[in-house]
Amino acid sequence: MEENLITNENIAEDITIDSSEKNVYLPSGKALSSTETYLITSSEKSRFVALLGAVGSGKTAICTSIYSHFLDGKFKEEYYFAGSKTLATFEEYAYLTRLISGRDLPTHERTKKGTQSILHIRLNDPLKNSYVNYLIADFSGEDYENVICNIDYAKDEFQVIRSATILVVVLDGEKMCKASTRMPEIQQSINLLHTFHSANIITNNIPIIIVVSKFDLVQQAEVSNWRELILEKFSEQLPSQQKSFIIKEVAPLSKHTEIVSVGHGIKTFFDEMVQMKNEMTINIKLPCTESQFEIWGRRALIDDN
Amino acid sequence: MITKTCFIMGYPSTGKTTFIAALWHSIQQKKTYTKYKLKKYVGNQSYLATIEKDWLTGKEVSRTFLPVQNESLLLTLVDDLNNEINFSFPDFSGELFNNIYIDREISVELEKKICESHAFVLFLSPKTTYQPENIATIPLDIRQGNDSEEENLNYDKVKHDSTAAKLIELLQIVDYLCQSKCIKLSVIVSAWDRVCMYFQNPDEYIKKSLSMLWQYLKANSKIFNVKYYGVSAQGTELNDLKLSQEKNAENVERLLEKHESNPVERIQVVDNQGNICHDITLPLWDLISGE
Amino acid sequence: MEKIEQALFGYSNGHRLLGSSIKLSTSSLRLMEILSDLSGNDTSENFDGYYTGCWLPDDNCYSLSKTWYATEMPRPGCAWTHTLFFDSEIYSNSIKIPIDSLFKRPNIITNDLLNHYKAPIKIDLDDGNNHANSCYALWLFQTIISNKQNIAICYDNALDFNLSFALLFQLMGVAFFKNFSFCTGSQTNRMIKGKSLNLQVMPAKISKVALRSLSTVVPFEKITDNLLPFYITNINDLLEVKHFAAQIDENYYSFESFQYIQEIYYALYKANRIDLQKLISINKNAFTFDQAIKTFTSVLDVFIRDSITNIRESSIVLDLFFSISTAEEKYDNFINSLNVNNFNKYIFELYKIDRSSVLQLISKLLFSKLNNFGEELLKELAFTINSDDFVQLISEKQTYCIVLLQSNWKLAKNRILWKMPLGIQLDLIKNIAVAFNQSTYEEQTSFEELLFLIFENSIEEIFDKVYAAFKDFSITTYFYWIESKNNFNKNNWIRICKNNPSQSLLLLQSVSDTNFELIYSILEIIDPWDKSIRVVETKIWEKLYDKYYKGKNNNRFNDMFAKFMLQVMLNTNVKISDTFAYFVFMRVHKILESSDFDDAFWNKINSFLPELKWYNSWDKCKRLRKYAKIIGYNNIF
Repeated sequence: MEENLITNENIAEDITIDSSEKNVYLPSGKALSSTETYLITSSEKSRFVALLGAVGSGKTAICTSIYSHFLDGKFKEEYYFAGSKTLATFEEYAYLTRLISGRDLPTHERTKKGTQSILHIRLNDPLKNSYVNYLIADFSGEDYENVICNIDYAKDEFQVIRSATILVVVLDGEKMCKASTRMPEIQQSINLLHTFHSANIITNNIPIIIVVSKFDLVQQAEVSNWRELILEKFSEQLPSQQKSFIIKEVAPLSKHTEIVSVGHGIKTFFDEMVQMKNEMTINIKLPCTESQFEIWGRRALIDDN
Repeated sequence: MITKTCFIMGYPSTGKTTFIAALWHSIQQKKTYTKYKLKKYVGNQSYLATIEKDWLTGKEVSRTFLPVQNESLLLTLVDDLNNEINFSFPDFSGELFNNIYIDREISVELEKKICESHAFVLFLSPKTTYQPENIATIPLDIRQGNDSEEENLNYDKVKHDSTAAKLIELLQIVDYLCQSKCIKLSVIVSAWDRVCMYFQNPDEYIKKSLSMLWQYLKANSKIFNVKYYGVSAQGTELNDLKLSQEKNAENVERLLEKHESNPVERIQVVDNQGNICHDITLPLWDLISGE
Repeated sequence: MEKIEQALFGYSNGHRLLGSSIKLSTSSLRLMEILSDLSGNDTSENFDGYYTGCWLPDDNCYSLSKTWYATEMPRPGCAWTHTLFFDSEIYSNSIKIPIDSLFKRPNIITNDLLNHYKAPIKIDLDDGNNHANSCYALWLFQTIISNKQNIAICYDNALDFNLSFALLFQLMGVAFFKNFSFCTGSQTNRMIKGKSLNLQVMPAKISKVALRSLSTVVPFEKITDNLLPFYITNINDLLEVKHFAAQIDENYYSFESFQYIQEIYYALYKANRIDLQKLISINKNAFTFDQAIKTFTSVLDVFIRDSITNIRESSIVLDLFFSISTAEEKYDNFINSLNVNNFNKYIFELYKIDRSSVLQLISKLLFSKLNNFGEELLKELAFTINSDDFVQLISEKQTYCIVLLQSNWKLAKNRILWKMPLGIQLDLIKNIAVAFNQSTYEEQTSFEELLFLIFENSIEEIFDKVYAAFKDFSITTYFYWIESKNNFNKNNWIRICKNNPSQSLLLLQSVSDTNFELIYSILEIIDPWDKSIRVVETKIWEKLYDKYYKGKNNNRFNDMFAKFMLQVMLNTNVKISDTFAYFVFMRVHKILESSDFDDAFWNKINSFLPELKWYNSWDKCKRLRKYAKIIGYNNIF
């Protein structure tokens, strides 16, 4: 028995293979965490776009569609694609929309709960020869649902939104088609904004773009006055919001291409976002909670001015 | 005498080895003018001789396998002014770049090689370029009929990621490793004979086919001092799938016969201005000695 | 019948809790919502039905979940997860339930189905010893306990590991896995609050990026190669170590400490000789200083108790005691934490089991340099053995054992000892003296019996030594002894009295019977010129006279006493009664008159008696008479 005994150090050594020993790690290309964005935000002008929306509203589809537009060269030459730290994730997201996946319908994997992924696109303005980084936060819809009307949770889990320079509220177009789902969807988004306001996570002067996704379904259902309803409710319930709400319609994965083309509205939406003057005039500070995002937030402010 | 290192990169089947085979033959012959000529043999050149033989017989030059990749091919060249130059270029297997793309790590040795390189050559081939198409762009009835066998395929980054993304990632990695110093880069579109009828010059091809890559290089012109070339190292498609095997063999035979006295004439090199020549050393000369 | 709380998570317009038999705390629910979601976007048949486990501190239970790919759902990336919550009180040390069979995959959400998950599972406990797949389980177990940080196992089948985990949970219970998190089907590096799970089984082809932040990566092929060298090679071994660990301290019954406990176990139970240094070093490496000392103490306690109870080879335990007693100074922190008192009963048990080995240990200890523990142990051993053992030790020429008397003088209560040679008896007395001096006044009375024994048995001339050891107590006891026992040895010991004549004379009063022999003997050995005589009160002399001489016609005794008393009077100027004085002077006068008087006696008193004119100086009697007058006895002559 005794001769069989070896020390635990030996065991550990024996079963451990340190594959990284002689290798140099390269950037993973995966979606970033908030801390990982620091290298970008600390070195160049950056804008942080937070996509807010319920489960299945199409947040990931919008991100992926923006990427696909670049891949297909569909944007104007006013800005060039100048790189991305999250190419691997963009490609992964795009896979299920591609013919090569063998699927009948384009779709996306659910964004898993608890994933706070931030996607990155760097743009170059060839005329001004300037660069700006877009960081797009695509969080799980379930996580947004949990935070509604729960200020403590919002403060705990969504501090990252404080650094947002643009909020994009995604409303599920499918839910805009029926009266039974329309108002709940709108109200839920308003409640979410309320919660973030109350938790001091967002301010009154942050630009908000309301994007209605799955626009093909809206068109097909021939729904009228949805736009007015959204504007009315948002303005009524968020009166302190200083900037007017902009409504955009998109169909990143249009199922009815005869009515609405694939990627409809993405270009307009992205153009709007790029052209938006989104100064952050106030950055509310809580002592000792300055995140990398906030550091960047101030930098962006300086750059914009 | 100076030694210049040129790092050749490209995913599998993008024409890296064929280019080297044609280059080896070109610098040894005298009939056609080339910017560089071979001064002397250095070390073991048997590998180059083997791939040259493939090239001369009009065969697909055998691909470089990971285990046999030649990490330090060395040529001693002279230019028109009789300046001698040691030209080192590792012939890495395309799989190596796939592995880098997947694993996101490289050996310390390779990192050193990249960092110490004076210039980079990036190969891409219209034959292996994958431009994704959205499912929704295909009519619904066709979608449902097709590809059912492939459904539920697991996502494989090597096969399923767009070529543009993969190439940009490779360049981003080089940029990351070289820490944003100015990088001299030749982008070579191989099998140029395949697309030459549609595009005036390689720049135009990339702009249309790999728009994101083109934008990336344009946007980062401060980092990448880039020149584009279209290269047809074989002079024709050796294995046109639209033709029968016999017909292909016949075409190859005809081509070889036509250029038997001067095989270098099979080679077509197109620069960004659309100028065509047979000098395959041009992309290298531009990188090392030009300007 | 036991109950197990359960919950079902799945996709219903978002991944959420669909039904549960327990109301989880918000923090647990949030964590479970995340962990019950798919581990990544990739799916693989071999991972369908993987396990995820984590500790839920706010609900004091361990959650074990099984997750299936919900491919029937329209959205890609949906999952069904059935979670069982094992209460840490009920299932602390084992889960006697076939865990895997409790997991049920739902197919479609209906109210009936949800109701099923809304009630706890009720199940009879099972004592089943079906330890299938124990080979992998043991490997897994060793991997878990020897890698505290996050670890990835690259292997293409979750199901083997499910069974291994199920078995380990059954065997070890949830207390062992507290704070341990795992997943048998991680497609990405899964985390809880930014920290990777402790153990993840990942597909062999998982991207290196996913493995990057994991400290240890184990390819599965290594498993079989590494089975042999482990300590534990079968389930019974594991259960033995578990039993040992559970006794030490419930805080150490955990995957984090088990490796060390296992090492300690093997160092104690499976070695031919216990290496104390190794034992201490394992503790030092494993725990914080305070913890290490605490564990060391309880480990030894458990081992010794266990060894005694199960009558293992006593020599190992005795060796251990010896090692502890002789451990170097640098281990003082550990050794001093041990309290010999805690081992009393074990030492006594050991003595009962193996008397001769205990005696051997004593011998060894007496020959070695001992630390505090050793000293204490020796004292304890002195109380464990009896006087026969002590006699045996001394008979075997191990006279250094006599020092044990300093701790337990009662060992000397054996008549054989007092028949032993003088040298030994002197040593005995010297060491008993130490104990005697350390005892309180009350305790001293208990030495009486011993002294009786000595008086009765010892024929050596050791009375002065005995007096030196016991002082006046020895005289007191002597008088008590001569009164209570009728022993031939009485007169032999009477010489003890000369060490304190006054005390002796005082005590003589208390002797109930008139014993002329005794007083004769005492007066014979007491020196009337001794300084201590001066403190004897007059009444004592008077009483002696009254008791033994007044009206008695024993000339021999009377003469002797008169002579003695005259010397006392000359020495102390004591003023005795006229009758008594008459007795003294008349008897002495008569002696001096006779021609054959005692010269020695005369020589002693000569210089003290008053001188006469030179021509009368030959008259000793006249000098005596003069002295009587001088000191005030005018009427005698």
